[in-house]
Amino acid sequence: MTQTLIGKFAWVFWLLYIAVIAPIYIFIQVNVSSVLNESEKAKIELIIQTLKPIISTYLTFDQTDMLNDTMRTFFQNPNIKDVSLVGVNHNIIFERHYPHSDIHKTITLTTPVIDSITHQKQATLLISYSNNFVHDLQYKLFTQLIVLSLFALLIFTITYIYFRKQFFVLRLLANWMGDYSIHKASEPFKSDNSNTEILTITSSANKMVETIEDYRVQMEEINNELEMRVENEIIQRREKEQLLIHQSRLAAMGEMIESIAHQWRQPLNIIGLAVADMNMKRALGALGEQELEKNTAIIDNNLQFMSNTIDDFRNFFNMDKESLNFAPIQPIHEIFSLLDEQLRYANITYLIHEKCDQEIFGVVNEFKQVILNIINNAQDAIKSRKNQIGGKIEITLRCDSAYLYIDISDTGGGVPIKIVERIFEPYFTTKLHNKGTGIGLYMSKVIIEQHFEGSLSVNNTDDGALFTLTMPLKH
Amino acid sequence: MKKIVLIFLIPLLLYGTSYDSTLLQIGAKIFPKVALMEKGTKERIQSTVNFVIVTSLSNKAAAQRLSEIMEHQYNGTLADHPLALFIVSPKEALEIKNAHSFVLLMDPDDSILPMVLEHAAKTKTLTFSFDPLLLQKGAAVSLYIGRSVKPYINLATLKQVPFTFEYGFLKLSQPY
Repeated sequence: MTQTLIGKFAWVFWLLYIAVIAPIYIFIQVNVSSVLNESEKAKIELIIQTLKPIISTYLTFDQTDMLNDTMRTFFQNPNIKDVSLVGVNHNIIFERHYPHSDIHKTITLTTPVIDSITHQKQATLLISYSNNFVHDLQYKLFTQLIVLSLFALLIFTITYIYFRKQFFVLRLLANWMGDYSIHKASEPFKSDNSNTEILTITSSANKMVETIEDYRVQMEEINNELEMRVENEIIQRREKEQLLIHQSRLAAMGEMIESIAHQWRQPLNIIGLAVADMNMKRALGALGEQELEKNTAIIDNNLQFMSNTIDDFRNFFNMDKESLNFAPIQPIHEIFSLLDEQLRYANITYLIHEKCDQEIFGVVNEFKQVILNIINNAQDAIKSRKNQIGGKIEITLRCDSAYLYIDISDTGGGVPIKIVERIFEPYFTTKLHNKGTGIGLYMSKVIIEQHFEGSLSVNNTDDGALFTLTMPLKH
Repeated sequence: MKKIVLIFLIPLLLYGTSYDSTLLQIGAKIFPKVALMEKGTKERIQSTVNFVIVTSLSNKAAAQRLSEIMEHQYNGTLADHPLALFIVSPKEALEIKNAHSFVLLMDPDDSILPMVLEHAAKTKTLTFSFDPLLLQKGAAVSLYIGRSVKPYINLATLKQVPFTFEYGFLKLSQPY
């Protein structure tokens, strides 16, 4: 079954044609033959009724010649095949057969000729007629139907070809529309078809494509504008992020100053004692070479320690942004090295469980910043507990086939439930007296999620908080 | 053989104004039928068909015979109407106004004949005769009896009254 409009039109046309013609033909075949037979019978009966008085008169006057002439007039009807007039004594008064080559069937009408005056039967008239004319008519009808069908077929074929040609432009239009792409400019569809309907369709299609083209240009402009805005927004966000990182680093730096102070306190005391020892021995004249070398060595060692502390501090705050694969245990040790004195001062012990030595990929200093933020928060939380002296921070490194997990737990009492959802929000802090900026955990989360493609989450344990850093292993 | 004799005999009989039995039988059979083939006569019949035989004295026996044959032929009924047969003299015929047909058994030279014919025309009564001379004088219908019976009609009389016959009869008849 064809799917084209023209094809469907062809099917509908022939179905309608058959639906109209076939019932008409069947109706004619069934009904007209009987009607025609009846009509012919009525016609012949009318002739008989007309001629009977004349025949009666001729019989009365015994006019054989005129009777024969009258009887022959029956044959003017070509369907009458036999005419005979039989007397009351069964004597044949008139008998004539009209020869025909192909008589299918004859019908005989028998009627008495009655004298209208005496009402006596004069003779019996027998008329036989054939229904060949019905067959002839049916044959003619069938022939005409065939001719009509052929004519209809001819007209239909011409119409079909004409309309197919006229509608072919629609196929071209469809191809043109199918080839249309918003990524390339398209020439308007041109057609020499002058039909109003086709012109309307092509005009509409051209207008539609023009509208799409306009929209495409507008969309491109909007996209460009949006891209620029997004780019600007990204730049602004990066700048803000950098600013936040910088702020976070400055905040960490402030906190580190305290660590450095703790770190430096003891070496400074040692250096001071060594200098005082040397001054006192020099004043007493007891400063020997050996004593000088010993104190100088003590001073050098402590100065070296202080210098190392400064180097660590500087390394931590340098602007190195190079991403590389690194084992996280080393930066963690370095952080604790910086915080060691401070933690000891606060009676906070720490434990590092290295169950995984896999490397991760990222900027080492940013990783250190995250660890420092979390440990500082843990330290502050432990310190803020009134009924507790000191505390414990534990770091566990573990991994599976894809990720490295760093669990940092403390005994600071944990994060209150009502703020647990908000602690990673920027500028959210629970620290009083400007001790906190509220950007530390926010930046930690940003660094882990965006720079390390990992995640940072928090849960409460029995004693405190448990921060878990999840980062993909190096690729 | 009988027919051959008749062929030779009947013309002689007709012209000789003598009426034999065969002639009268044919007349008796045909005249009433012809009468009813005329439209006006048929319409004028109310109950009885009045068939009047106008005869001169010399033909009275023939008239009687004709009446008897007609009576026998039609048994007193003509086309579902009672058939009344009368035998009258020409003079008496002039008095009859409700006759449907006159069968003239008269001498063509009879002086009263024109009056009878005139009266018949006035009363639109068909006139039959066996004598061509009577047809010449103005009788409406006469019969020629030869191999077959051939009616003769006087067109002038038919047009004058007028009489309207069926097509079959007119086609069959010979105009005079």
